[in-house]
Amino acid sequence: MTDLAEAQDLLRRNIALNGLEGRCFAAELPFGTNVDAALQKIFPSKDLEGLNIGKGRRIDVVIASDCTYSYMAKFTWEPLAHTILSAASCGSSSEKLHSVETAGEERRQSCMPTTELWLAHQERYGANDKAVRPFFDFLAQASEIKSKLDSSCGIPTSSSFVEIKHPQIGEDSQFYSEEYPLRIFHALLPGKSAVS
Amino acid sequence: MSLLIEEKGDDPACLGSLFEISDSDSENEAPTNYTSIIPTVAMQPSKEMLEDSVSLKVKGDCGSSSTNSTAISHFVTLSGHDTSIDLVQFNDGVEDRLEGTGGVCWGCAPALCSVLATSNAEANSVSFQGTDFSGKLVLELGAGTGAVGLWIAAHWPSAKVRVTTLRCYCFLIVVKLQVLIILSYLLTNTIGYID
Repeated sequence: MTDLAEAQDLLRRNIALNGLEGRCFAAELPFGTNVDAALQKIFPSKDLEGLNIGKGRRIDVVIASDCTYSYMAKFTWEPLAHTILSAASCGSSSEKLHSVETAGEERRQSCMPTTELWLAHQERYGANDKAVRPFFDFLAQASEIKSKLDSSCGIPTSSSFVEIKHPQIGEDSQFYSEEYPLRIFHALLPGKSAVS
Repeated sequence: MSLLIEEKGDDPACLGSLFEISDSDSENEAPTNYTSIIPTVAMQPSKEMLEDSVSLKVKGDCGSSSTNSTAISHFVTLSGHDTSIDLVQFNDGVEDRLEGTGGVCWGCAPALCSVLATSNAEANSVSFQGTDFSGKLVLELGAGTGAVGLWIAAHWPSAKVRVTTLRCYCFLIVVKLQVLIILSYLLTNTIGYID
């Protein structure tokens, strides 16, 4: 059992172990946090130099691996979903839309760049298909909105759920079984306008 | 369709804030099977992908950390697609124990790294295309050991990666303290009753 300081220590130790201090940073971000509101905490100003975060640069990719499991026999997915969608809507709309200059307002709203989402899930601690279904349903619906909105812009959007059945992915076969297949969820999520 | 996210206040278990998310337009009930919404594809990896899949190997013991945790005890290596990173993790990750859950590199990490590193040509057999994180800003949630985020940073040197942790460990400590308090209360009352 560990506390937050130890969790941070573990992350920083692994970053240093691989010599990735300049490109990979550790921060605290509890599920349920609004990423836009916590941006300065997650990305301190000195780290933002050159990244243009907060001036319209969006978070391009959100990843989460093995985050869909239960505490106290319940998978509470709303906080995680909120953080994912808030990360997708990060950044100012004006900058996001600068590349779509000729279209009308409605069209421009619909053409905001997307955030790519990758989730890896395997049943653990009771987070079975039934328990995680509302979570993935919700994310699929969120990505479907973008898919509909972007149909006139030619921006490719999709959501897919890939079940990896082959046990040879990774040599450590202890994690792979027919009973608990690995699943990779991939979606392109909408920006702020589609989530009110 | 309009998705509503309503903040309900702070979560006493320090997991963050409480939210209620609803679809304000749809009156239909959620489908009984999520595959009805999300296209599900059983992935059959190509030969090339299998030969260079990202694997997870235990490298050896590394003793306890400089912190007061005695659980940090193992080095593991995540390698494949010309990329290799070393990780320190809590416990050995073999037993599916709740203790140190967030500090273990589980099986999803190498699988996700394998899929991310799959080229477009390889990925054409499934429903998504391969990805390139060069120059992109990547946020990993609930990173634990940071396995996937670190692997991405190593594989795409121009990517900027932020690995983040949550407070679930605090949550577990709160639960443990509550159990101790209850046990202490029961023990005290029992002794008082006997007296």
